[in-house]
Amino acid sequence: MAVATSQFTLKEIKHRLRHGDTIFDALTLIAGSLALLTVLAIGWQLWQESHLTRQAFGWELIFSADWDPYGDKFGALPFIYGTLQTSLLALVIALPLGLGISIFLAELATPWLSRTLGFLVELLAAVPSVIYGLWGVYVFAPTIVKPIGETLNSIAGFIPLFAGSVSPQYSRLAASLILAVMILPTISAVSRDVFQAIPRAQREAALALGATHWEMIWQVLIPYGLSGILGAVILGLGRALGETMAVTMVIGNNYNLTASILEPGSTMSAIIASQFGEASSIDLFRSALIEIGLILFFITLVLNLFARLLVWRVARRVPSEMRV
Amino acid sequence: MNQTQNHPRTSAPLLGMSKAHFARRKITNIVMLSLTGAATVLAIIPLLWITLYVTIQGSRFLNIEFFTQLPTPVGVPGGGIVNAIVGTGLVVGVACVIAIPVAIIGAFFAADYPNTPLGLAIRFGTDVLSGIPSIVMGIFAYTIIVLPQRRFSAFAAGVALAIIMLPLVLRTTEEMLKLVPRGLREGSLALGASNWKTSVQVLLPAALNGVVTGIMLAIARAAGEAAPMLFTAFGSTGLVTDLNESTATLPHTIYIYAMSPFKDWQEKAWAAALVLIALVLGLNILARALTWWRARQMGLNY
Amino acid sequence: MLETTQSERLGIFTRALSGNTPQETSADTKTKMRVQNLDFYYGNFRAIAGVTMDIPEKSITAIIGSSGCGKSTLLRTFNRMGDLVGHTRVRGSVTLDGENIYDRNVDVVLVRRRIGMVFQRPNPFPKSIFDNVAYGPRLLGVGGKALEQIVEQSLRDAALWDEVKDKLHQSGLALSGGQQQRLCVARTIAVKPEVILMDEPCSALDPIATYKIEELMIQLRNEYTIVIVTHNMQQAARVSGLTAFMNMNPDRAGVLVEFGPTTQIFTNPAKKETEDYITGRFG
Repeated sequence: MAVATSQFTLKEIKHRLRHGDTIFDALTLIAGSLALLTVLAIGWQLWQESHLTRQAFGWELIFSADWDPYGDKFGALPFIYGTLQTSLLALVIALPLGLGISIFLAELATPWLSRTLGFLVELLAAVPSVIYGLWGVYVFAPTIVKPIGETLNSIAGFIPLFAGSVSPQYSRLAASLILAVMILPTISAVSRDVFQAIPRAQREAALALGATHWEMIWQVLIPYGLSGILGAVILGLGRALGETMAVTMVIGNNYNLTASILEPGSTMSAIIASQFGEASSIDLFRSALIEIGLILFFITLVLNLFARLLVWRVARRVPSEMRV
Repeated sequence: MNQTQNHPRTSAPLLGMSKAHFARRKITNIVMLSLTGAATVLAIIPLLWITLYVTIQGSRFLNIEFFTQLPTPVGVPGGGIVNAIVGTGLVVGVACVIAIPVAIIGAFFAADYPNTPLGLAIRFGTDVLSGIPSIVMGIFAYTIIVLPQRRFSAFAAGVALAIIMLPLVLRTTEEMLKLVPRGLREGSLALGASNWKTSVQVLLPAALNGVVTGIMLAIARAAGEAAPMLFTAFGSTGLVTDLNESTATLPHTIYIYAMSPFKDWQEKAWAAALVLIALVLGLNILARALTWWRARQMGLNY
Repeated sequence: MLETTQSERLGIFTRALSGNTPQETSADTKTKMRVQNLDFYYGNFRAIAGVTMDIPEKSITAIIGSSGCGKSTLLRTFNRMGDLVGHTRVRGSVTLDGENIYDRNVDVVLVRRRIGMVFQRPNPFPKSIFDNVAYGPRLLGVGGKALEQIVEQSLRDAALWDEVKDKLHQSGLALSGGQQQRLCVARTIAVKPEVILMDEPCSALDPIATYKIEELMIQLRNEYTIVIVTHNMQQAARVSGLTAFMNMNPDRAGVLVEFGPTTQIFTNPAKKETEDYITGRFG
């Protein structure tokens, strides 16, 4: 009788405990899923709220270069072009630098130096975008970007990409250079992790064959971590595409489709940021800007999915090399 | 058996490379390794340049009034940005209240079931959310709160910042929970504690220091965001008293002042930038110091 | 009693050797590497203390000893692999053909090009079989037809050619563990080193793959000076001409207890320590 009771209570306690755990698990699952649900909700909301322009213009919004909101003309091509141009140029500048930094931090610097310099580079990502913009437009553009732009123009001005004169404050070049600085921490931090994940056996194999330190890095480590580095590049690109304030402040908000990086321009995020105030009371205008936001969301979503898969693949591949 | 006889060895090709070739390899080595160091130095220059310049420019216009007074119209001397400081505090506070509980609770699932499809989906969703531009978060908060309510509000701004903070806090909490030694958890479970009690009473306190660090970094990030404010907090010249009012925030104020054609507003932009950068970098450095301190407590050579 | 045990041990060897007689080192063999009073430090910890040994040319020298006694550490000082770990320091000298490899004006890259190394676990690059072997020669500026010849010859010398000649452009990682290790040997001999260091090259391999590597070593000793670290005493007995026995001294530093012809170390060791270790191992 006594035994039976104690068994009963034990069972009951177990049952109740498990019950508590079930609730806890459910709660954590719901909270954890909120991130994913938010991503879906963002996509859904932007899709819904951009239906006016999607129905009225269809694909024209993407392919038309004619932007005249008060004449109901919404061609976002200049902004899509501006976004791609500034982001890709930023990437071209930031990739070798970021790779160099990650090599220095992961392969050359002493642990103390690597931590200290690594922290300083990370701080670059902590500086608010609006402060980059402020510094960019009043300090960086007049002192650094203008001379660079003038030099580019005098050497290669016959190429449309480098045509025209560069303003001391606003240019696509200024936006690209500032973007390059802003995405450096992303590229260098992710590729540093990639380098640090490469097994020591790979390094030793190269060095034991008489490779120099650089030959080991260039011919063995970089090919080994290539897909991870590609992931870093794409994450950096994603960051550059969506970057708003600094770009809005230095790019000059020119709505015409021109080729030159020396001229002012605009980007998808910059047009949204600079015109939303006016657009919020005009349904069609607002819908157009939200649709541009939708495009931005979609591009960054796809890039992120791709980059995460790449980085995950490298992380998974490391043990397979040890296969015997 | 004797392979050397089957395949008579050709006289070993001489691999004694030329001196010039070797010298070229050595020079390439030195040049390229130096370039990686140069890249690192080059990257740090903007950081130092920005912090020094903002400090020098900003401190010229910084005084007590700046922290206690409301803004003055163009041309009227004096005035401050107390409305923006309070506004930033308010919207970040709202964001913390929304994001931190959700992030910490969600992190338990991701940490408890790391390699299950659901656990992976949560991690993946979190990673993807953190990659979405903040301006898109702003538009989202605008469409779900500002549009239906027909007014800009501090609350909408808080929601936008909460979405930015959520993945940051969730991932750091998850990492910190995973770092808690297995023994601690198993010890508690072996004493008959349920999983959720173990999680809340044992794991969370053990991971707390790291979680706090993660929250500080997320706050630093959220406090510096200007883009979402354009569609949510909207800006205001008065002191915010209600979550349903529009409000000024520090980064947004910097944007407006910096882009204005007026000299005295541009000067105030630098002063406000100094306040913001001190806050943001201060939080980052504090978080790093905490991490270092924790690592030392654990006896790691960090 | 002791006599019986010794002959028993000898019996094990003769069986283990399966036809390959250990190479006896004659007095007139040239010394390839000379280690003198070598100390190796990790920070303040002395991991190797006062090792002195002469490694003869074109022979196999085995280093045996209990795990953790510093065998691998010692081996890695022979091509300055220990340089890779921070806060290490070397005292004493290691000479290659009379030249101290720790000399200030000696280039470590050249040292490693002359002294190759095969590691505990096969570590092919995630490149094709061809590119793995071609890696070293390419560094030295070899290309074209000559490169192809070197790759083929190296794979033949590593007894791998017949197995891979039809799939040279497949990934080296697709090979079995034993094949990967022979690929690593081929990669090492492709730069024609003078000395090959082998750090427990068979510890991750099955017995058949181990046998193939040992067979390979015996062939390679005609051309190369080989130093092998092994925890497998039968292996040391099967392949080496000279054996060094290492142990830990009371300060936990690795010391060289005894060094001599393999048959002597295994059948008639001079030191009690050696005998204890070998008897313990062979049971």
